[in-house]
Amino acid sequence: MKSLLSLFILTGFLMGCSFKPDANLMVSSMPPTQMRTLQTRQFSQTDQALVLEAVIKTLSSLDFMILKVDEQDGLIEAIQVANDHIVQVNVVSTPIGNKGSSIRINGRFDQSPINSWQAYQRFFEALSHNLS
Amino acid sequence: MIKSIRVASFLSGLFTLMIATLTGCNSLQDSQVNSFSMTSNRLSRQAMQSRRFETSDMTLLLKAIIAVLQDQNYIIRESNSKLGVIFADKTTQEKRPTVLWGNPVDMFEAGIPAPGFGIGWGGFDGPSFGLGGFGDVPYITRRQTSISVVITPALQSKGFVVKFLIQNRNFLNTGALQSAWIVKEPEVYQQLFNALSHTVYLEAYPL
Repeated sequence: MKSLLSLFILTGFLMGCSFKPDANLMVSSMPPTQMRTLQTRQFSQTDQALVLEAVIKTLSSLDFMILKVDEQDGLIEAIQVANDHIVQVNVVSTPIGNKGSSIRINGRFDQSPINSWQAYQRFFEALSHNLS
Repeated sequence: MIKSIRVASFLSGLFTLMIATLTGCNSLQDSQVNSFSMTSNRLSRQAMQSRRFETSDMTLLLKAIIAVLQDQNYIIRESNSKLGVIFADKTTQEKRPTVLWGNPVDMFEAGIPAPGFGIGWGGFDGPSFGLGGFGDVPYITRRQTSISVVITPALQSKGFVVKFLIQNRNFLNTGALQSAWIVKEPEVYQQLFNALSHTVYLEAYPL
């Protein structure tokens, strides 16, 4: 009986672990709205060139290599290679009229999507520092 | 008595598995957070990776960096003079291992278990012992070196700050990634800055 109970507890823990890679790449384990909230922040800077410069500086200071920059679409692709792990990110900057810019970052850690809010929070903290 | 020992053994095994799973899960989350954190290691590396150049001409600096990278046989993949970004890479063929009975036998340094015969230390996998007949054993066949350059205006003085970041990746003959790491040797960055200083005829100032 105790063994069965332990097995149930273990199964519960395993199901609660949300860092397994998705079998279907089109389906995320998190609702899209929640994912967008997690990955997006708004900043008061309206100059898109300055925003992209700050994003590049931030990524570079975090050991990311800038692979591609598309100024027109405000898109930056970067990769970080360290300790036998590969982290890939996309950062998109979108102007919000004359109110500022919306910045969204999404990433993959090896084969797993990054769902950790703390990870994105750390990025935005570093970005705020470079945008101020 | 025997039954209770078996149950206790099963439960302890289950507990160990549960702890291992949770630890693995947490370590993945920690690694993800660490990837986006300004750690003390990252801060201390900034100084060796960055130099300030007293010039007001970003294009001149960018062209000089590209020339230096070309001298080192890098292929330029991306260049943006407005935002001050360059990305380049190069691939080098690693030495072919000595083959005995169809198996490489001198890959001790590469962290690959030594097949063939004899005793070897296989880095990640501990000691290995064999008498041949292991079949195809993977070995490192190529290394890809990538370099990222970011040029930003110097904040408290005139000129620009150039930051180099070099990363290596080793690939096996199967095509799989074997290892990946950041180059942390200061002399590698020093040589690049020296070459850049000579190319632009400018003094490079440590930050």
